[in-house]
Amino acid sequence: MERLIKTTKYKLIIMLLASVLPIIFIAFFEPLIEDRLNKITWDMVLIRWIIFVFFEGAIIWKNILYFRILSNTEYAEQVLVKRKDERLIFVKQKTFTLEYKIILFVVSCALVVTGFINPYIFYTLLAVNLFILISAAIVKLYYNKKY
Amino acid sequence: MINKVQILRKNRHMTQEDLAKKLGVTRQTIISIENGKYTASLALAMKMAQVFNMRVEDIFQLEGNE
Repeated sequence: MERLIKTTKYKLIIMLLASVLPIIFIAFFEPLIEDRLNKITWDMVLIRWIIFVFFEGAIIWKNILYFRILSNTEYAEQVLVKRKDERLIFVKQKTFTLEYKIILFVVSCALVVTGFINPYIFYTLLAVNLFILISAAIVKLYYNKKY
Repeated sequence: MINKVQILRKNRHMTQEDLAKKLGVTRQTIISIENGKYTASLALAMKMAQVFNMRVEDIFQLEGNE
């Protein structure tokens, strides 16, 4: 419990700082980038604002949860039980395993398609795919040695 | 894997919430174990044996071809 409170305090500080970053980006850096871009269409602006609102919303939501953990011990205990619950850990592991396979499949499909269109995107996706495969092999090797 | 968790819990007049609190898991985990959707780990099975004051093999049993 003490560990949860301690880590939550650190997370809250980091997230509060992180919530300022998108605002700084929008206020100071975006005008600089806009000057360099030749043409800005309305959909680019819209997508940027959607991403901004999504990130800010997610950070604020996380901060509310952290405040609740720090102020309400009953809620903190519930969170602790949920984090240690073996079924939820099992579900998370299964989800990540399937997600990894899906990502690999999607990137591989994109690799084949972009191979006919653009060499730069093709090599970027190839690098991403190889990175996923190599990092997965290293992680597997690590856990095989560990257990 | 078949288990007698539901029967044992009801015999002791415990709710799923009570058992979950004693074992330090969520109520959903107890529901899944009782329905046979999820098999408890060895640690959780041993905790259950302590709560019910029984042996693990009396609560959990292997099915025919497992």
